[in-house]
Amino acid sequence: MKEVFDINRFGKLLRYDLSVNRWEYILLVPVSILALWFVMFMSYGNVNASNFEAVNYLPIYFIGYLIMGIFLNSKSFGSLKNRLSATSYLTLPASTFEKFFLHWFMRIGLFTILYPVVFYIGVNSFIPIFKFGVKLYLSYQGAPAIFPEIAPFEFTLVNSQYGRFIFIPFVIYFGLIFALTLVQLGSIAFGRWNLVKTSGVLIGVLALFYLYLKLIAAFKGGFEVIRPNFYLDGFPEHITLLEIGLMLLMVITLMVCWTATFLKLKEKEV
Amino acid sequence: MNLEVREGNIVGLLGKNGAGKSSLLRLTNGLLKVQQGDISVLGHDPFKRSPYFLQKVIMIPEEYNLPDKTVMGKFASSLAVFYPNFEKEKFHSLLQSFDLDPSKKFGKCSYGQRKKFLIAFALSTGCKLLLLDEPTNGLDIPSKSIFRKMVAANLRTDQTVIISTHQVKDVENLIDRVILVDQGRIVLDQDMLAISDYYSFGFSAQLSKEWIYSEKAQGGYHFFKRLTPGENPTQVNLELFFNAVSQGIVLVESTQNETVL
Repeated sequence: MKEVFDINRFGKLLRYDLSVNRWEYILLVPVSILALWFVMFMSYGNVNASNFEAVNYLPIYFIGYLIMGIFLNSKSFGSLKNRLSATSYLTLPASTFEKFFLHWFMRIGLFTILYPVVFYIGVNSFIPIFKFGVKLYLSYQGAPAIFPEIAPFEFTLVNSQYGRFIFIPFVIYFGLIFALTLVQLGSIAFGRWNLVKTSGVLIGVLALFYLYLKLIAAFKGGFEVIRPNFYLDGFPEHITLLEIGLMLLMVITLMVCWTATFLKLKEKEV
Repeated sequence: MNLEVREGNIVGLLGKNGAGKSSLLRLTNGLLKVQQGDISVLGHDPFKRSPYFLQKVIMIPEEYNLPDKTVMGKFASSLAVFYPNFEKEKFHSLLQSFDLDPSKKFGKCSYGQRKKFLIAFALSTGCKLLLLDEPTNGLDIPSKSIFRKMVAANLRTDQTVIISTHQVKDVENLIDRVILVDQGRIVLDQDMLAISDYYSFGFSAQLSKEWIYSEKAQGGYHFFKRLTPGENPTQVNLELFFNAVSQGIVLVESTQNETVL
């Protein structure tokens, strides 16, 4: 078992990764915060006379997660894109599983945990800056310093908005992690232009799925025929078999993607 | 190709460009998958890339990528932890011998300095098998000499080195076994001692019918001939011998485990 995973060796691999990619990791936080400031500046600027409600952060939060996650994961297994660095990476005395898991841990696991913290710091640090800037601008214009209230971002916001339907943020997070996993697989499978190629594959898969739904609808006379009602605590009141099937398909595809990423790394030749 | 390397050997893997030397090293190190046949290195299947195998084998490729913004010493520390037998004192002493400053960033090092760093690191890992692909490429003349001395002085008896090169002159005083590869086949596999016991190498102004092979040089000919009884063995001119074998002048007959001259 220790040949496949050893916590000490994984720690060494983590230290090595931090040593080699430290600038990428160090720069990612301030660059993300600056990008977030820009987005918040545009968002607050559009508020006009109405207040900026906390709920308005949700789409920015999830889209920000997706964009940052795609950027981070498209750079997964960067060492394998170059023949010379691939030689060093593949011969590093750690197991293939540890090398695979390191990328998953840093770019999906740890990212999912740290992203809310970065978002919290980014948004809440910008509010006083924005207010100060607006105040200066208005006083320069000679206008009265009246501007809308801006609600701060809170960690509980993501879950609290869905009431008892804890299922919904779970599905959203699941979908996002699924997308990042696909990008990670694409980065090892396609090498250069991996993001473009992965997007192409994703569009192709979605098109096939759409076609499949159309076919079902044509043969079964619509989706309603396979719609039983579920009344489970914490779940939406109406969840169709199709939706459950889709969730199961996503779980299976996620497992397949992780296995494919691992095998691709295992079978890599230089 | 049938090849068995014994513990403690310093093997010179020679051949023309594209002969298959680097591919053989990559197969040995688990970077390539065997298409036909079997390969076992230190009791492991290399392509499984077990961490226990990888910590016993180190390879210095002909070309490599080191992080420009990282300091030599820091990089070595983050990598050394993977090798349980790494000798820190030896590493620093080797860096000193190669006149390298561990506080220097790789981005400010020349190609030769980077190569010297890798050689020093590889020799300090305590790995049982060292695979060196063109190790003297990019080294200046004093460094080539230091390289030979360092390899000879810092190896334990249980360590094996395979040096792939076409710079024959750089390794002829270092290796104790030579393997010539051509078009993916081994055309010669012999101990250096056996070659010097069988052939006599020299330089002469006059041609002789006794010679098996000769090459014209400034002021005469480099040659080799059969060593006659009572004659003292000479230093092997590996480049000359390599050229003769490549041209099929020295007839060699390979059996499963040995080559008959």
